[in-house]
Amino acid sequence: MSADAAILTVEPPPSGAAKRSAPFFTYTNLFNAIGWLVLALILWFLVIPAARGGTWAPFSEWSTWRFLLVGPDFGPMDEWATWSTLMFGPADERTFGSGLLYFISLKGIPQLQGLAITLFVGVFAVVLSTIIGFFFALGRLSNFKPLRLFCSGYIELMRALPSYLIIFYVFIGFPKLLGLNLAAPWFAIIGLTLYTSAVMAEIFRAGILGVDKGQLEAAYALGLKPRDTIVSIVLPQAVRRMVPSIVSQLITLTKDTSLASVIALQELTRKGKQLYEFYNNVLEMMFVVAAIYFLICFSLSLASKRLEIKQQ
Amino acid sequence: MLELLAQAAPAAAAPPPEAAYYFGQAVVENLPLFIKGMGITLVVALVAAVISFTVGLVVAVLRVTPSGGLKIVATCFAEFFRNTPLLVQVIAFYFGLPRIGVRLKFDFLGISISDSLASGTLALGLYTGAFVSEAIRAGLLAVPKGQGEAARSLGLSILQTLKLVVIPQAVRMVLPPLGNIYSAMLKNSAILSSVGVADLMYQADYVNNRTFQTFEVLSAVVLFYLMLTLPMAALVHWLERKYNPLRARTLRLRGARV
Repeated sequence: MSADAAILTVEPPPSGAAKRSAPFFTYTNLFNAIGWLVLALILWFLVIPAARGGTWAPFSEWSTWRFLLVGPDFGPMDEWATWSTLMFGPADERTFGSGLLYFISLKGIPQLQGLAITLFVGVFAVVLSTIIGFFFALGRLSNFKPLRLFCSGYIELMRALPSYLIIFYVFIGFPKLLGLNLAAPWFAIIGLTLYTSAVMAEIFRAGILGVDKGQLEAAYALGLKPRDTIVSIVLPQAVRRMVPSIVSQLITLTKDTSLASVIALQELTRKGKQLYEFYNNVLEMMFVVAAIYFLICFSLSLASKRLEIKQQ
Repeated sequence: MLELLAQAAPAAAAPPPEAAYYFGQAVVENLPLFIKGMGITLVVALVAAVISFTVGLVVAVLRVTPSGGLKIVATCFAEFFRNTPLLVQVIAFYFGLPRIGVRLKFDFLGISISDSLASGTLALGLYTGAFVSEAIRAGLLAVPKGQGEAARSLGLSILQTLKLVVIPQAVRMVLPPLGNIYSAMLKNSAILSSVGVADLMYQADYVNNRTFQTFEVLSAVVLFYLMLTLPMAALVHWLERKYNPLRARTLRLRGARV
């Protein structure tokens, strides 16, 4: 096989005449030239003046990165005793349960800032909204009409509102209307969860409905209960279809955590804002902040692409 | 129109003492502000839609052409703008562009467009344009390769191939995701209020701070947003049903003309 293929594919090396007769103007050459021109312009007008002005200088210091990633240096907080006091309450009056409750109230978490709190809020919101969204999806598919109407109403309402407005409503409305005094991360988590759980519910519903009806009928014919059918027949097939949509929703959620900066959560965007106000380098600082978000979101999307390829 | 785009919000009704409010007074008295905010939200969405579609189309076409330089630039643009938060982009555009000497403030036919409105709309347009380019690219790539090759071998030029063969088939696959992207854009326009574009969200914050009738004001704004987004969602639903490839195939099998 190899010898034939080699004979078929190997071309004679281009002679000097052939090289010379290659046309100078092709669209490929034009696009290449314009592309390099654009890159050169970006370099000339954006990167070089910025580098000359010394506005990139803060990034050569560890403290800047520390500020962006985990917040300012609180000094004694680096010791475990202080840190655990912040997270789980004072050590002498701590039992296992109360320590956990203190942690869940997130009163100590505001000491955690920057990218750390962004990821923390994001992971919390993902877990909560996956669980809640799953039940809303089941509710929307149920045979009990009031439940179905309630779940549809919730999903459609939340999906139709800007997540910015939802977070804002939760932050301003909850303490005033419900008398809830929560730590700032909780408002962000609740607001993000309200929106994301609705989208997740829609994704789950589409995934469940996408499973072939014959599978369900076969399961029922074999005598499986509805619960067993869902758990062992429908879900394994549905999850496979849902992975790309779920990952793209994760990316949206990661980007939406930046909205929590307007409700005074000390997360990555807000830290970036404080830094550029101090160093007076908004473009560079926002570029670095955006690059950090980009690393997270882009690696998520790459992972989802690889998963898709594996499944096919 | 001139009033609609004016940046500075007129003073809200002077706040009477807390007890003097009847239910819904804060909303009723500031209704003109909300309507003005709704108008600005709509104008921003429309202009950003035009920007994003243009940008998306150009970037998508550049990304499917088999050439080096511009393809790399277009891919970098799309991936970067798609994977970073809109809030960060808006801040970078609004505070950053004046620093490199770009002033977006301009007067057009007697309408003065403020810096925040122009840069916010541009950021929203570019952010959405990256998503649009991805949708269009997916649609173009989903057209079987043989179609384009056949058209080329029949002697059509690249542009003719795109115009007559590939794009008509791609539109069918592009329209539903495009509807989703634009309804998301309408919602994302609320983020522009963080740099002072006087849209609906901005008015909500403003009136709430003036009157402290949190529940009424925010619920009214929720209703206003629903008035904008629910028709959009219905349109998307209609598009999805109409252009669902599976449904089209079954209809075609039955002999219907789709």
